[in-house]
Amino acid sequence: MKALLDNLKAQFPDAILATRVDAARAETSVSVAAARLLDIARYLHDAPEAAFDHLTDICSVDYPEDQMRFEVVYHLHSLPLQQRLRLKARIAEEDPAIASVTGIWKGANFLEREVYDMMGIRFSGHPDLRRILLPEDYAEGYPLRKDFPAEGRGWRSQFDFIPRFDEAPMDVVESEISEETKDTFRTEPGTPGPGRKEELLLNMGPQHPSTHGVLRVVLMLDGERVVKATPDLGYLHRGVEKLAEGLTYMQMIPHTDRLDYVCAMSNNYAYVRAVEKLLEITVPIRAEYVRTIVAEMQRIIGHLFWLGTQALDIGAMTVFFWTFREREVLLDMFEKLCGARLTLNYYRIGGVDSDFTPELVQRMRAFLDIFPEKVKEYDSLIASNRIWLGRTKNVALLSAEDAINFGCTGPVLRGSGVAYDIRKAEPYGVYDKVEWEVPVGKNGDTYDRYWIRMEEMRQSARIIAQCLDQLPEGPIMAEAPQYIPPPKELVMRDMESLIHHFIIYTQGIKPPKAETYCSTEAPKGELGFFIVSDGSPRPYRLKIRSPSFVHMGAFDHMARGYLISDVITIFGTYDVVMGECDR
Amino acid sequence: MTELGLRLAVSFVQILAEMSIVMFTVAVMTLAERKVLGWMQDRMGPMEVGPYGILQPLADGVKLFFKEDIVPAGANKAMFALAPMLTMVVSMIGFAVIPFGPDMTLDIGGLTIKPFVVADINIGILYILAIASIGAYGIILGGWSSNSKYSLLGGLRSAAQVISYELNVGLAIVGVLLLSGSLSLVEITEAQAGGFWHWFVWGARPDGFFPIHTQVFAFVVFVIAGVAETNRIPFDLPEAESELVAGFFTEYSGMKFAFFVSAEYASMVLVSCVAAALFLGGWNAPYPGTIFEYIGFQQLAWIEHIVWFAAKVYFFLFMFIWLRATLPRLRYDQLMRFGWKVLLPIALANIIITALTVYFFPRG
Amino acid sequence: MTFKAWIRTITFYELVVGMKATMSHLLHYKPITMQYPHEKRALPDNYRGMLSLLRYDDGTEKCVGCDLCEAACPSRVIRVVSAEVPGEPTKRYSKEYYMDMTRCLFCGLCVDACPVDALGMTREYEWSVYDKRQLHLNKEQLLAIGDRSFPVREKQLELQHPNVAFFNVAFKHLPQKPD
Repeated sequence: MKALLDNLKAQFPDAILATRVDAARAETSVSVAAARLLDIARYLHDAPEAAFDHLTDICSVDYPEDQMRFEVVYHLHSLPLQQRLRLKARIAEEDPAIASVTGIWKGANFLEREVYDMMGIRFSGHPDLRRILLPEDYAEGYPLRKDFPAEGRGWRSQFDFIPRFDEAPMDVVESEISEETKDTFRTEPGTPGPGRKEELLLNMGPQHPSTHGVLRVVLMLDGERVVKATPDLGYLHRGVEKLAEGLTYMQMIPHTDRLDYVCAMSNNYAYVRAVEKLLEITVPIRAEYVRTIVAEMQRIIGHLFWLGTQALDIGAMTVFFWTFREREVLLDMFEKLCGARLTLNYYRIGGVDSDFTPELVQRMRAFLDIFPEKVKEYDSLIASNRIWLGRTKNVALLSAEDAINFGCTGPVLRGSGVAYDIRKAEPYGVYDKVEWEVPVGKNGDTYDRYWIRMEEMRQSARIIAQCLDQLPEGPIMAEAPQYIPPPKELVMRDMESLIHHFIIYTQGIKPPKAETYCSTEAPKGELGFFIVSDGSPRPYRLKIRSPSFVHMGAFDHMARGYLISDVITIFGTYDVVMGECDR
Repeated sequence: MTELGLRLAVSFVQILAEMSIVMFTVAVMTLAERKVLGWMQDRMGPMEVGPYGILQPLADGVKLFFKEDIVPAGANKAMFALAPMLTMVVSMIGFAVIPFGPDMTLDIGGLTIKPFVVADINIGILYILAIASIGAYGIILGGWSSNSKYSLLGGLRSAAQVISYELNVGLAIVGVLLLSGSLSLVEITEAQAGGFWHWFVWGARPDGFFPIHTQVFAFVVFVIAGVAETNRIPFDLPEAESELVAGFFTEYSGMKFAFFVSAEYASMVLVSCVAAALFLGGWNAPYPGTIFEYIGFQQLAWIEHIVWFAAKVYFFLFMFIWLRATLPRLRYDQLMRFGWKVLLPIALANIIITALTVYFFPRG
Repeated sequence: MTFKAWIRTITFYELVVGMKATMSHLLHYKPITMQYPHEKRALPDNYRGMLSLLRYDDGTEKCVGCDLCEAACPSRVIRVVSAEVPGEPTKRYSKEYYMDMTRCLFCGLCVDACPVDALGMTREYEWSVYDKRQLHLNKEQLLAIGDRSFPVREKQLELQHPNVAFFNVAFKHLPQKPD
């Protein structure tokens, strides 16, 4: 890393403004001049000693007091060299613009659109710079700027969807989308298409049985074949990132439940790890074990949910009910563990909320005993079924280069044959203390991704079984009185504890002034939290890198040339959850 | 004049009886489908209306009857209303030639009628094929007139699917026609009398038990094509709910929707009846004669025949549900490829082989 | 394609295996679903359901009006108006206490925050109403939920632990500091 930084300085002596190595958090950030960003990015992508082939995230931070008001933060990741780099560029307030890196990383397309949508920074050279999460006619400005009130300004869409009763009803509706509007969905404006003007524009979603929530895709069809697919996100946008700026670090945990509501534990885990990295807390070993067990239970739940819905999308409805049967067993255990089934709020900064009791250990062991049988049962319905194979093999092919270039992570990336799993690459929890393998696909088709998730369920079961065997005794919360509230029994007994309790709950915890990015392997892919702390009890900026959102960026690429039926399969194979995608 | 009046009255009563049996079966099927699917999926199915939910079809009917009938903006109203009726009528009149029971005759006031078949016409099977293809029009019309792209796609898929699989149904039947030498369903069924091995699916000659004229491949082709014709999983592409919302009847509601759904179930019953009559010996028991005959109640043998016919039909209906519980849906191009490249050659080969075996080993 | 694979293809072997699996479920029918309004699940004790205010065994409210729950709540559900207990200037209580349950996340942070355990999460979850305003609960309603969900009440906090005696300087009815 040191050599790389020296190299960078030598290559771009005037453009590298500052480098900062955060040894405690093992993070490196480089501030560059915005004008030279594109050259530096290209160098970092192409040079063999850098090889930052994976663009993890693009984030923007607003510093209203500074002269260069906006900061655009690029999180780069080198898969071959296993290193991360944070690239920062400052731009001024009036007409903020920066070069687009879509030519280098295709995955930057959606990420840059999000930055434009939320912070109003223009990306010159971006092929399709439109709002992505907010409505296209949103007239209130850019919500993540600090001068935007968290409550909003009361804007309502002017879209007249309620029919007017005082007007005569139209007998023949020509088309629901006007010609100009249609053009935004056309292939490349100006270039002639395949020479035919008979494409059918089909609006799929947000109200559609199999768009996994409120995803909308505008499909341009030639017969049943997809010519172009334009995802339209944001129907479930709640402004969680803005919300987080008004919440203390602890209050944010229940809000992370609502990101990927299928796998709330994984979100809790990802967030709590990011905060712990910021605070530099180490978690007691028993808590680490419990966290790992629970995270893997959640992975099984998430994959069971995915298997059921994907099979349902393809038409095999029985699998759906059978997977939900096992999911119920695990959810019952969650309920016993933390009192809730879906929005769990179980992880705490510095530990977990309640202990994994011996009764739960026993129930978990009993579940692990029957689980392989149950997986065999699902397999009997679909694993070698010729219809299932026909529907999944060679559908939605994604080459390894494309998968990396689009920033895909998790099973989508592994399906394309890239053995990258954060649990192996940057072990956290107790993943380095147990034996397990990372399943990797070959062809990058839907079947491989299906196979990987099935295999991951088996591996998760393996991890849990080993963790249960090794589960040590000990506390489940770290000792750090300035960050972690004291145990409840002591509060009204002990004056010190009472004071700490009051201070932490009224004022919140005050982390050091720092910034950190922490990524966790969620069932859907790399779930990362980027926290900028200004030393106050509330995060100055919290960016959620959600795998579903990044994966949707590759949707058009994957859907082109396939049939409508395959579009449904692709939704399923991403395992897209809109709560996380739209945030 | 009185004779014509009597004939009309008798036909009317027969049609009414047959219609009620079919509609009853449809109602039973809607419940049975939900129940059996539920049981296969470790759940209970409808349980609220009546004991164990057995009155659910009634509740569904009442609900659909009172639902608002919505016609989408820009829909062709006449066609939109016509389509469900067409589908419904077509799937009902096919039953006219199905023999539910043995070929008995009754004398009523000098008239000779056959109580178990409404019209024993000598081109029965051709009539069914012709009627079934009209059914596709209802679906295409419904899809086209809804002014919805999902409906349109569903209708188009249906057109292509019905044409491809109609062909396979027709070709699969040819072998049976070669064996029986008749197009009348009554005569085809009678030709299979004499027990299990004489059903056309095995095709033993009347004087032996060796299944030399076996139609088992034609039977498989017929069943698969029949599932495809009735738009059932794994061939339910016209209404694929995860892709096209509900396909051709996306925009339908209330009684029009009920018509489409009951027409679908009625055509399932029809296909099952035809399959039972053509391949599984119709009303014939799997043993020679009937038990009632042996114990001396010859005049009650028809009960046994009807029970056997019903058993075969319900077996097929159960198969439909069972397939739905098990299989995923095919994709459009796979469906077409399967129909033209797999089923069609099998059906053609079956015709040739049957023709040769019938030529060299004539039946009786 | 081997002969075995070929035989499997033409006999639809894997489809038959699947059909066997569904059939075995039909034959060994054991539903895992429940007829919800008629039968209900047994919920664990720590179930995070409807919030409630609790009382001590002598019927006094536990809440001391400290506002910690209000501060801890991530979605501003709670509003506390605190006041002095009339006649007892060293004690406070919540004069008014409101919860807007339409916003509640059921995260349990308020229960964690409460220093005197005056808040409890009950096992009630059937709180669907026709009018949203009915979910805006006041103190009496919250106490009523607590009364019906927690029949066994705790002793007064002062009586729970001997330590209290060491802090006790003003209350004659409480354990007195030993001389």
